[in-house]
Amino acid sequence: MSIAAFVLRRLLHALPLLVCVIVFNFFLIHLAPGDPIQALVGEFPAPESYIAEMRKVFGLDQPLYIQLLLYLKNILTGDLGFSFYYRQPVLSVILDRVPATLQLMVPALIFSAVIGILLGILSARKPYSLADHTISVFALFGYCVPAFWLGQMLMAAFAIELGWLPSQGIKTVGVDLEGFSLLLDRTAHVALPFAALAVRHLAVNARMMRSSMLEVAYEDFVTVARAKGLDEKDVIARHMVPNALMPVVTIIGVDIGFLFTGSVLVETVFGWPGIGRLMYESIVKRDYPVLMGNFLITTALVVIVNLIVDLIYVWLDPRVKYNK
Amino acid sequence: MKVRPAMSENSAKETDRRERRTFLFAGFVALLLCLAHGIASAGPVKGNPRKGGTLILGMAADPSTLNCGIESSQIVAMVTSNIYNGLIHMDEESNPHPDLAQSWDISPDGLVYTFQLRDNVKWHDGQSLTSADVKFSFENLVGKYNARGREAYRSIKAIETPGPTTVKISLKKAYSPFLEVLTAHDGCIMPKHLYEGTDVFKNPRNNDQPVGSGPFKFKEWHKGSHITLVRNENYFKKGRPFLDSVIYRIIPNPATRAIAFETGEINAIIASNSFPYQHVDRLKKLRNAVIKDIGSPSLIGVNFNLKGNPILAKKEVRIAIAHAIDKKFVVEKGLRGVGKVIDSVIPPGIPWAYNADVPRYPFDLKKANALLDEAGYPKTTPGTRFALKLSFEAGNDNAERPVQILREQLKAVGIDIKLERLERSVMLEKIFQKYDFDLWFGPLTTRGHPAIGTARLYMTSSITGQPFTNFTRYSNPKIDQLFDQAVAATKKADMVKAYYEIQDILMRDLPTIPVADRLQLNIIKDQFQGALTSTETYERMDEIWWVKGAPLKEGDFERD
Repeated sequence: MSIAAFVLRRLLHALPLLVCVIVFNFFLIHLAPGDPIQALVGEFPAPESYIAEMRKVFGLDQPLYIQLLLYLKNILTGDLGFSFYYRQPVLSVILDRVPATLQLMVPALIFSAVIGILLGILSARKPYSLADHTISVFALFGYCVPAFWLGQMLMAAFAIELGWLPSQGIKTVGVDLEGFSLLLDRTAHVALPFAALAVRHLAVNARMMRSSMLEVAYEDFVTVARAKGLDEKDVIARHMVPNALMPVVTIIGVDIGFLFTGSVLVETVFGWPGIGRLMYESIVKRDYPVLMGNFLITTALVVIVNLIVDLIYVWLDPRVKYNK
Repeated sequence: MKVRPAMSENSAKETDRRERRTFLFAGFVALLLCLAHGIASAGPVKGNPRKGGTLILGMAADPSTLNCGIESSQIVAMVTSNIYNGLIHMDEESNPHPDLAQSWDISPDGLVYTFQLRDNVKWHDGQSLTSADVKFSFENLVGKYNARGREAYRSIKAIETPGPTTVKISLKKAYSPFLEVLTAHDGCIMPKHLYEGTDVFKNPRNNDQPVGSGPFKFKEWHKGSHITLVRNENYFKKGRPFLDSVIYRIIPNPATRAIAFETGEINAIIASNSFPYQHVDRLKKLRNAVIKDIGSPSLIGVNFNLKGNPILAKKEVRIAIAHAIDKKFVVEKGLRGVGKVIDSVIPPGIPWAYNADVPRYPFDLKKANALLDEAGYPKTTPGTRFALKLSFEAGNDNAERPVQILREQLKAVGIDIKLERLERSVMLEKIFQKYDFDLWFGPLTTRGHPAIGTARLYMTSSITGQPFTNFTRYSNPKIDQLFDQAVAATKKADMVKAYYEIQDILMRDLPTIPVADRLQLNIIKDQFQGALTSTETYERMDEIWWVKGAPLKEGDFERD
């Protein structure tokens, strides 16, 4: 089977999955108590006519199944609906937040993948050595500590006590920066949320890589490699790492699926204008269309990323074939 | 024992003279103060403003829109009130001052309001603002969609525009708080030429490039990050605004907001819903910053479900509960001292309407127990008389801690309280639409006028199933009549009398136990000065100046 046919078949499988996810999310969200219009109206009573008009404007006066059918029909035309709160098309509300989230997530994920894998290899080279223990303790800490707490601690240390870094936001407002100072400003702003976010991913990757390395360390082909007199570096780089990478790639793949959802906690703590915060705010405001849009994009991404991960498997491990 | 000798005549004269001198001196000082005050009170802008600078404000969330014609929440008005204008604006004592209208006239029967607009007002795109814009806004935007000013706008019979700068509004019946809603918050005037014939909910100006007439022009809105407004060089008020720009920085997490203020990333937090009350103690210790209580009148209290629970339908039970609550403790520990104990449903924050002489229910456990025994609810199982559900909004700092204290206090008289923590949108439905509660504790904004903030809670016609209307379902024809009388009064004394009586009756019937008037705190770096005392400071950014700006001469700017 060719690679194109494989991709096509997988995508066809994904379609019913996507529809199921949409329908399931739709009902799940509507099951939650709370009326979006009442949430929208605020603390002072609104005229009945106003509320009726709002319901009509947002199509909430229709029965639920009609709302669902309309929603599905609109998605087919690329229309993700209209935000109750922002009164703007959902797609533009979400796309507004994409750059900020990518700016935070891409460096954090790349850093945690590369450094995590390296730390894992380092750890597994001499198990139970001082280096291994140090890395393990650090990884366990990084894995256990809640991101919002770590975020606030980093803020207390680097923004308040030392005053080196800004405590929140994506950039300094009120000044127009250019060139190097712009880069510096953006980097300074991303540093703390980046750290709060990367630590956990880094820890998971390092632990995963370590155990995976230790598993392959006793495989026959490693023994053979050593027996034929290969340098230890070559044994690790050419034989152990490619094989040990498989489970780590899966985990990183899952992480990438959440690239566009951002991190709710970190983005909220650091006032980062990304998608994670948008998601949280739309739950509070009962902004169903934005919430649904977010779910849909996330689901689609997870499906696509899984497909890419499968393709990487084939590349990493020749034993895996497209037809099985 | 030594007896003090009686004062000799001489020394008496001496004292007399000294007193007279002191008196003269005091009089002189008073005169000076009066003069200074006379100069300073030419308008809401007091002191010596300077020009320049950028003020960065911390704000809890993005506004939903920048169209103040369809939205009146505080978070929207914080921004829009500085881009748009109302016909008038109010100072901290609820006195009207000219804004778009330079003068106005109210007919003796209170039915016709005639406004003379300034003739030099331009929209930010250069078009002239005329009476047609005012008429359009009242008929198609604020008048139709503003929730808080609903009653006022419903009382409008007709709007005439005899000339480009004259607006004549006739009312169906006298409505004394009519001027209250004509501020930029509840009566913002929007450009007819950009909104006429469009879908007002989807007009792109709502989000992008709104065109106002106000002191600041819209520059950018980076959602989730910040909104920037810059000085309107052609503003109709001479020399205003003082600041070059105002930036609203959106920081959702209260702890981060407090830290950003400490580190100087923001200069001020000026809105009740954005102040990080949990961190008030730490912020109070900061140097170079001023915390001000701007006393936004509100009613924090225990509200009873009068129709849904037979126990609470009994007045003696409600009175007993009132006696069982130690309000002082609730305010000190529950509200972190950020509040004042109150005994009436109209808070002292509305000084002219507040009646201090109402029936009070001091903290008295013995009396509470006796009343509950009398009402027929003796302590049965160990210490318990009956159980009640106390509902409140999750995450609302004015409720989260106080309800814990209330539970303990009511336990002491044998009432078993189950706390029900409701997420906001669930609360709106459960409490206000379905009346599914026993007790509800939380803040209710009363604003500057009982006709707006209090009538909605106790009039029979306000039992509508909508959020923050009459949800205790209290109904008393006498109260309805008094509220009607108050809004129709053309003399302030008659209006005050009606509100006094209303408070007296409500405190006897006790649909609500008033506990506290929430303080609305503002914090601002001391290098920014200006109008920080008014209840809706955030609407008046053109009155704030930066002490390091360029000095201005008297006469170079308007004070009003």
